This record gives sequence, structure tokens and C-alpha cells, in this order.
Amino acid sequence: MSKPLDDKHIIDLFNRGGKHSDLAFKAIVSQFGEVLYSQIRGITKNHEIANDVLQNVLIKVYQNLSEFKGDSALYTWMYRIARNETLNTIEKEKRRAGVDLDAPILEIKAGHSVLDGTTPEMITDTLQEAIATLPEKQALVFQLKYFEELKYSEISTRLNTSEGALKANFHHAKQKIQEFILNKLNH
Amino acid sequence: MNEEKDIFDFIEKRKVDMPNKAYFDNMAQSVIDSQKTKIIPLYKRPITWISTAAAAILVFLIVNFNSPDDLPIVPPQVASDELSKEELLAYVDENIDEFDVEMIAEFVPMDELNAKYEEFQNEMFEDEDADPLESITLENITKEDILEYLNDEDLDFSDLEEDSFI
Repeated sequence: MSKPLDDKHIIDLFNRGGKHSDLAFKAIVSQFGEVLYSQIRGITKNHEIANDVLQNVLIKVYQNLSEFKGDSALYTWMYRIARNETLNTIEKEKRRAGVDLDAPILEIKAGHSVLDGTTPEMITDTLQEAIATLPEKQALVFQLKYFEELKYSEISTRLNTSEGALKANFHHAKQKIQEFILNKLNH
Repeated sequence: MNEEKDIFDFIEKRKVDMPNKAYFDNMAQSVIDSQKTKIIPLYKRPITWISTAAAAILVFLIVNFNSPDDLPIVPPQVASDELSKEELLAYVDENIDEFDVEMIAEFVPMDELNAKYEEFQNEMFEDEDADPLESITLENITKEDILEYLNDEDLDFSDLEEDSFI
């Protein structure tokens, strides 16, 4: 597998146009496609919808990459697009009867009284709701650490953020999610 | 106390099936292709406007110039007076991409071209301010006209807003 390109390299390549743009865009999809898909699929719980959303996200990325100023890491920017696109799609698809949904991505182990009274579907939905309430950076770090199981060093490279800051973000994200779940399931 | 336990210790993630590498490669390619072949509406293409303007001038010149020496664009074996206006328009429409400003400028002096274009524009838009509905007055509309209109449109009086009668 070829070495991942850094953000600056990708953007410079893309802005050169023609075949260079194609190469840059393919590098983006190769480096970030899976994690974007996973993020989207976790919320949409359906491959076809995730496929459509991912395609829309990538089209937006392609159309707007030349305007990307580099104020954040490239992945942060794409994560934001994916998050908005997914939530908008879910909002439009509230009438999702008839769509085959994935099995819940979470299972519950016995031993926690609050969780014992709930179902995997419920805890999965509640977790996604909780993530949606988080500030973007915390949600992003949580996604990469908890679901993608990336090392802090990898996330640090990807997001241009120190490992210490990432650990703090992840800790706060977990705390807030926990509070959200307990509040929601206790009532 | 239960609530002090870390909730994440009691939740287990299930592995989600991920599409293979070919899926992502294909998607990247399809996005690239879709962006390259994106259809730009004809009227938004600058070249369309240039070609249209050029074609309009050309048609005017072809139709109005008498001397065949001024019309090198028309194939020599076809005399301009043998062609109808419709045929000329059809030819221009079919071959619009072949016309460009340079080609016209090569054959027609620029001053003459500008003068003819202005003349052509004036002719085209001289009645621009005229109101096409001017000749229609309420007095000219009969009850029968109204009933026929309602019938044609499959309407009845209740469909008409009150404002319509003001």
C-alpha cells in the first residue's frame, strides 16, 4: 500500500487540475473513504442509504476542495460535511418504514442496571443521538477512537492535533455520552 | 453504585461489514466522471452566446447582402437567392459550433459588422416596449369567452380567486 499523502500534498495536487486532480481525489477516497463510510453507516444503519450519502459527500468534497482554505485538517472538514449530510438525510428519511436496517452495532453485557432494562437497538440509537450533541471535535475524536479504534498517534497525524488534546477530547466525549445515555434511559 | 460504573464497560461493539477496496475505487471514479461530464445548460455556455451572436449576424448578412462577393461563407455552388431563410437558419442551427467571431471578422470588415449588428438589434427589438395584451380589453371579452376558458381549463367559478375579479 502506498504511503498516505498529507493534506497539503493532496490539496496542491488537486489544484493542479486534470489528471493531478483525479489522483488527489482518489487518494482522498482511498485514505478517508472507509472511515467516512463507517461514520455514515453507523448513523444510517443501511448500506444503500450510506452509499448515497457517501456519494453526495464525495461530490461536495470534489466540488469544494479547491476552496478549502486549510483552516482545519482535511479530514475534519470532510467529517463535517459527512455529518451534516447524514443528519439531513436522516431527517428527510424519518419515514423509513420498509428500509432494512442493520443489526444494532452495540451489544449489551449484563451487570449494569440501567442497561439491563434496555435493548441493543435502543442503546445504539441513544449512543448516536448522544454523539450528535457533542461538539464537532469531540464527536470526531470519539468516532476515530471508539469506532475506528485508531491509535492516538494516528489520529494526531490525521487531525494535526496533539495526542494530549486528543485524549482530553475523548475523555470529555465519553463523559458526556455517558451522562446523556443515563439521563435518557433513566427517564 | 451502578451509575458510577463506566457504561462503556457494559457495551460491546459489533463488527460492521465494510465494502471492499474496489467499492471505494469505483465510487471515486464515478464521482470524478460525474463531475467531468456534468452537463452545463446550453444557455449558460459563453461559447453559445458568442456563437449565437455570430450566427445572428451571419444570417442577417446572408439574407440582406446582395453581392455574392460579400458572402464567401456560403458554398460557391449555392447562390444565396436559391436558399430560403428557413434553410439558412437550419444550416446555421446545425453548424453553430463551426461559426466563430474570428471567421466572420475574416470576411467582413469590423465597422460594417458592427453597423449591421446594431441595425439588426434595432429591428429585432423595436417593438419591445409594446404590450402584447394592449389590444385586449375587458369590453372585448364576452361571457361565452369566459365560459369557454373555464371549460377548457376544467375550472368552475369556485376555483377562481376573488382577486381575479378585481
